[in-house]
Amino acid sequence: MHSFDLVVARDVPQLLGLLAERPDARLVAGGTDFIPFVRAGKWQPKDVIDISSIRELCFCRLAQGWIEIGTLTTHGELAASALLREQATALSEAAALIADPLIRGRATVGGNICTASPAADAVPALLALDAELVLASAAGERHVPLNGFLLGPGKTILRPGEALTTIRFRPQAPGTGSRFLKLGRRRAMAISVANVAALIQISGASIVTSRLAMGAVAPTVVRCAPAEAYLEGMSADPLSFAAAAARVQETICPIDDVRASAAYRRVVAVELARRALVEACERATAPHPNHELN
Amino acid sequence: MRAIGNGRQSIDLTPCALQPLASQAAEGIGSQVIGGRVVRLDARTKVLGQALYPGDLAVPGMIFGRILRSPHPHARVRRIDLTAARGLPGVAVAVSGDDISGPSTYGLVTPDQPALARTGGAVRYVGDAVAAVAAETPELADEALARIKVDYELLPAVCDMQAALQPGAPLVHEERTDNVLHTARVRHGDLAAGFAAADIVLEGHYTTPFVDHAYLQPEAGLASVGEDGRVTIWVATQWPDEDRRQVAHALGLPVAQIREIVTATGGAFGGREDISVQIVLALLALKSGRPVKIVHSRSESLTATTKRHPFEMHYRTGATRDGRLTAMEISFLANAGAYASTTLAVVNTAVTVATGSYEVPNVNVDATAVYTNSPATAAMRGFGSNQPNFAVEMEMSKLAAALEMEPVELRRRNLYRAGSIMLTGQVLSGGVGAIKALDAAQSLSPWPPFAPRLASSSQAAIGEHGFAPRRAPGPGSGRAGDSKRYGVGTACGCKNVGYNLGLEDASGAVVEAYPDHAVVKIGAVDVGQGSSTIMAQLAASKLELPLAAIELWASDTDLVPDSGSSSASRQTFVTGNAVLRAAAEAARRLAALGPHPPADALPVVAKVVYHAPSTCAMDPLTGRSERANFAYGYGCQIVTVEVDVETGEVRVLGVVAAHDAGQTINLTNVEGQIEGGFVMGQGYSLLEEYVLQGGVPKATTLATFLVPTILDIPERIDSVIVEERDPEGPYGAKGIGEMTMLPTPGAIAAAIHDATGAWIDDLPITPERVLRALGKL
Amino acid sequence: MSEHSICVTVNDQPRVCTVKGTTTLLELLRNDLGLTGTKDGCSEGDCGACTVLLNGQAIKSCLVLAVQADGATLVTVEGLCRPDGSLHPIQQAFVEAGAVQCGYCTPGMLLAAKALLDANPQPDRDAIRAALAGNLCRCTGYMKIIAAVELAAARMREGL
Repeated sequence: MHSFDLVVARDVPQLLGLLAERPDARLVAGGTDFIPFVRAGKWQPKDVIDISSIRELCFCRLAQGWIEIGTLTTHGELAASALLREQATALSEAAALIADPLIRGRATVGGNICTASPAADAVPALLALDAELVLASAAGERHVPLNGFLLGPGKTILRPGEALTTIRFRPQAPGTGSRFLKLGRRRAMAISVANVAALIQISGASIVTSRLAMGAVAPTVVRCAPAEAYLEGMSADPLSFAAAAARVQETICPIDDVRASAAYRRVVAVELARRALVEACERATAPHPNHELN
Repeated sequence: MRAIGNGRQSIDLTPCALQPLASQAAEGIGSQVIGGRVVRLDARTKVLGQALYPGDLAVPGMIFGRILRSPHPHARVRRIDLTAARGLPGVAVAVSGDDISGPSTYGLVTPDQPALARTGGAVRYVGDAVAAVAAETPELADEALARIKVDYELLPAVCDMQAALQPGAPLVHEERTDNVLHTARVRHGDLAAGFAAADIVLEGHYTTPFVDHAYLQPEAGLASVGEDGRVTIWVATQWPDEDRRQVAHALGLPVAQIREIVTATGGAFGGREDISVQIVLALLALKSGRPVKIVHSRSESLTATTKRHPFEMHYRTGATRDGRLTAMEISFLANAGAYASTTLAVVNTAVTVATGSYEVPNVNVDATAVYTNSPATAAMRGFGSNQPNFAVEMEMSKLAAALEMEPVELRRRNLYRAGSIMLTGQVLSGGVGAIKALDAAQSLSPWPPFAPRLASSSQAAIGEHGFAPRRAPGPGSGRAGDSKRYGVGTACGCKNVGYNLGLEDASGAVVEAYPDHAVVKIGAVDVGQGSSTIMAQLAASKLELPLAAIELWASDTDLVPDSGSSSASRQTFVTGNAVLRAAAEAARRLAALGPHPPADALPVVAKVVYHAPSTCAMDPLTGRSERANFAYGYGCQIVTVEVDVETGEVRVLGVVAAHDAGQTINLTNVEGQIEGGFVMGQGYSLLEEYVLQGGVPKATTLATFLVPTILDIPERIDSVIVEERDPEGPYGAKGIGEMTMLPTPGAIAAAIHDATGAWIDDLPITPERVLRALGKL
Repeated sequence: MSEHSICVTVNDQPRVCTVKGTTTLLELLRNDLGLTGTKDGCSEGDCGACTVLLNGQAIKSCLVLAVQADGATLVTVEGLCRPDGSLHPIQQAFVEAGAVQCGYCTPGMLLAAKALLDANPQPDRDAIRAALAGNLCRCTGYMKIIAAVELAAARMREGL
C-alpha cells in the first residue's frame, strides 16, 4: 500500500485541530473504501487521520423534531434502527443492501456520502429525505443541504480542513411512505447498476409531495426534479407513477461500464423508479412499514 | 527444515511432516468404507486453520519476489534496464529472461511461453511476465519493481478472433505464418444425406466468454536452494511432476535438480495446471541464493493467469419429425489467447463431444483455434466440453420447441446408450448412464411434466403448479411481482474421464503395509475435490483396515510417485486403480507372511503404475478414433428460474441434478461436486465474464469479475446419484468433477426460454441480454 | 511513515505490537503474529477469506488498519477450538457436514458463522445466508456450509 502518515483522533476537538494542521488529510473511518482505493493508487494521501474511535460521532436519534445521524454510524447500525425503519424507511432499506454484513458492520454513512461514488446506496435515500449535512472545521460549523454537496465522482464541496460530522433530516410526515430499490449484478457484494429512493406523501387520493433520487445513472446521485414536479397534486395511481418514472430520462445520463451499458441503465432506471414510487405510495397508506414488499 | 513464522509459530517444513494425514473418522472396514459418507481426511486440519497453503509458509532468510508484467497487449521489448532496481538497498536480485541460460519457455504441449521476457522478445498480452525482483520485504520488492525501466515498442494487437484470422493480420507469434494454432475436423457418415433425411433443420450461433477460475487462494509459492544445489519449490499446483519438467526445461537444468512439494491447495479447477510462479521462484532462488516467496495479488491472479477458452460455435441441426437427429454440421472457433498451453487438447476434447450427449449418425465438425493478444487460454473445469454441450443443448431445446415435443422426451430419443456410435466412431460400451440420469432427474423433479408449448400460445396459466400465471406485460402494471415469469429447463451433459486421444494416462501408487496400519503414497494433488480421502478409502477397502489406520502421503516428488494431474476428472479412476492394485498386492503379500510376520519383513511395499485403458488419436481428416476416451460421465439437470422481464434479472430457484459417475466412493464428495459444480455452472451461465477491451482487462478484482455469492444460489440443489458402473473403474467408479457444470448453461437458458419465449445464445446471460432478447433494448 | 504501538487481545492473549500506519489487521495477524489461519484471498474486501471477530463482530480484517484495532478483542480461527484442543461445535459441524473442500474460505466462514450464532442461536436458512453473504466459496456451492451452520446451531442449543 502507498505509504502515508497516520494520526489518530479520539474526539471531535482533536480531529478539528488535526485537520487545521493538515487540511488536505484524508479521513479513514470504516476503511471499506479507504483501503481498496489507497491500495489501487486511486487515493494517494500524504496525511491520514483515523477517526474510527470517535464514539461521539456514532448516534442515530430523534432530537427536537429532527432525525440526527452521526457520521460514523455504520450501515449495520442504520439497518437495525427501529427509528429509521419507521420514520426513514428508504434509508433503513438502503443500509441493509450495501455490500454484505461484514462490510456493513464497519462502513459508515459519512463515508458513503463523502466518498461520493455515483453509485452510493445510502445517498439516494438521504436525498429523498432532504437531508442536511453539518460540516465542521476549526473555524466553526456550516449546514449545507446534501442536494448540492456532491459535485461529481469523488468530488464534494468539503473544504480543506473540514469534516462531515452529522446528517439530519425530518422524519417522514404522516401519510408518507418511502422505498429504496437496488439493482445489482448479483444479490450481495454488488455495486449498484442503478438504484432509487422514492418518497411519497399523500392526502386522500392525491400526491402532496414526492421525492425521487437515483444513483449509478449520472456523475452523482441525482434528484429527478421533473418527475417530482410532475407528481405534485396528481392522483396517486399507477398511471401517474409510470408517467413520472418516464421523466427520469430528463435527469439521468448513464454511462457504459464493466457492469452495464448506458442503454440498459436508461431502460431499467425508468422501471426501478416506477416500482419505487408505487411501493412508496403503498407504504404511505399502510399502517406499519415493513421490508417484506419485495 | 524447520521454519519459524516471525518467532510466533514454528512451521515444520520437513516434507514428511507436511503431508501425512491420519484419518479422523473411524469408519468401517473393507467394502463398508466404500460408497457412504466419509469425513475427509484433511477437514480437521482445515477447520483448525492449520492447513498450510503456500502463502502461509515462512523460512529464515526468506526474501519476497514480485513479477513485472506487460501493460501492453502486444509489444517488442527493446530494452530492460534493471540497474536502478538492482541498486536499491534491500534488493537481492533483479532478473529478466536475459538472465535465464536455458530456453526460458514453458508450455504443457508446446513450450512457447517465456517465463520472463528477453531483450528483443515480445510480450503478447496484458500481464505477460517481463522481469522479476526479490527483496527483503514485499514493500521493497514493490519499490524495486517500480524502478525497472522497460522500453516497449508497441505492436499492433489483434484481440478479436475474426480479425486474427484475416490475411495480413498482425501475427501473435511472428515465427508463424498465421495465427492459427490448431485445427481439427470430423467427417462422420454422410452429412448431405443426413440433411436430406431431415424434416426440420435449425441453425444457431453461440458464443461463450473468457472465464477465470477465481479460486479463493491466489497463486503463491516458496523456493529454496539446498546445499546440494537442488531447488525445492513449495507450491499449490495440479501436477508437481510436470512442474518439475517445465522448470527444468525452462532453466536448462536436469529434472533431478528440481524437487516440488505441494502444499494445501486452495482450489484449482484447471487453473493450476499451467506454470504460475514455479519457474520464476526457482530462478530467483538460484540467482539470489536465498529462499524466495511470491504471492500473487488477486488482480495479478486475474490478469496474468490462464482462462477458459471463448468459443464461437455454429450449429446446423437436422432431425426427423419424430425427433430423431439425422445430421449436425458444426464449426468451432476457439480463442487460444497468446500462448498454446493445452489449447490443442481442449479443442480436440470439444470435438469429441461436439454432439454433446447425443448420437447423431451424420456429423461434420470443423474446429479452429486462433491466437490473439489475450491471456493464454487453457484448462478449466470441462476442458472444452462446456461450450459444445451448451450449444447442443440449445439446439435440442429449440428443436423440441419447433417440433412441439417435450424437451425431456426429445432428449431421451437421442441420448447415448450402450452400443451408441459417437461422432468419432467410438462405440460406447458399458457404463452409459445418460438416460438413467435423465429419468432420475425427471422423476425427482418437483416440477410438472412439460406440457407441449404451442408456438402461438403465450398465455397458458400454470398456476396449478404453483407458478405465477403468465400475463402479457401491460402498461402501468403494479409492483415488481407482476414482472416475474417462471420457467423450467432441462439439459444433459457428457464428458470424458481421463486423458484422451492417445495421450497415455498412468498413475503411480505405493502402499507400505503393516498388519495394523498402512502408508499410501501418491502424487495426486487434493485440490479440494477430496482425492486424498478417496485414495485412503480405496486402500482401506483392500487392506481391510479401518480408515483411521491409513496414513496418506501426497505430493512431495522426492517421496511419492507421479500420479498425473488432478484434472480431467481422472484421479479417482486412474490413481484410484493404482491404489487398489497396490493395496491388493500388499494385502496379499502381507497375508502370505502369516499371523506373526517378522519385523524385518515389514513393511510390505507394493509399487504399482496403473495404465488406464489406451485411447486412440483422431484421424486428422475424419476425426475418427475407435476409442477417443476410455470412460465418460453423464448428467442431466432440470432447473427452475424466475425472470424479471422488466429488468432482465434471472434467479435460479431450484435444480434437480442427476449425475452418473459410476460407483460412488464417497457420497459427500460426490454431492459436493454436484453442488459446487452447479453453482460454478450458474456463474458461467449468468454472471462470469473476464472482460477485455482492446486486449486490456476490465475485470481485475473480485468486485468486477463476479462469481455467485451465497445469496445467488437456489433454495435447493437436489442431487441424484446414478451409478452406471464402469467395468474398468475402481469398484466401477468413473469421474465427476467436471461433469456437474456441463448441463447447467443449457438448462438455465432453456428455463429462461420457457419463462419468456426468448432464446439467448450467448453466455453469460446477463440482464441486458435478456432485455435485448425481449425486444426491450 | 508513522509507527504506532498498539495493544490487542488475540484469542484471549494480550499482545503489544508495533505497526506502521499502513499495516492492515490482516497483515498484523498473519505476518506479525504468525497466525496464518486467517487467509488473504484478495486484500481488498471482496471475498471474506480474511474474516475475524473484532469485539465480537465479524469483519473483513483486510479492510481494517491495525491501528484501528488498538484496544480491541480479536478472535481468529486459531481461537475457536476449546482449551483441551477439541473442536468448537461450528468446526465440528463443518467437518461432519462436508462443508470443507479446499478449505481456503473455511476460516472466514467459521468466524462469520460464529458471529451469527452468538447473536442468533436459532437462525433460519435465510438468516444463515444473510450472515454469510460476504464470504465467497468457489468449491462447495455453499449448500453444505448452510447445513453445517444449521447443525452447529442445533447442537449449541442443546449445550453440546
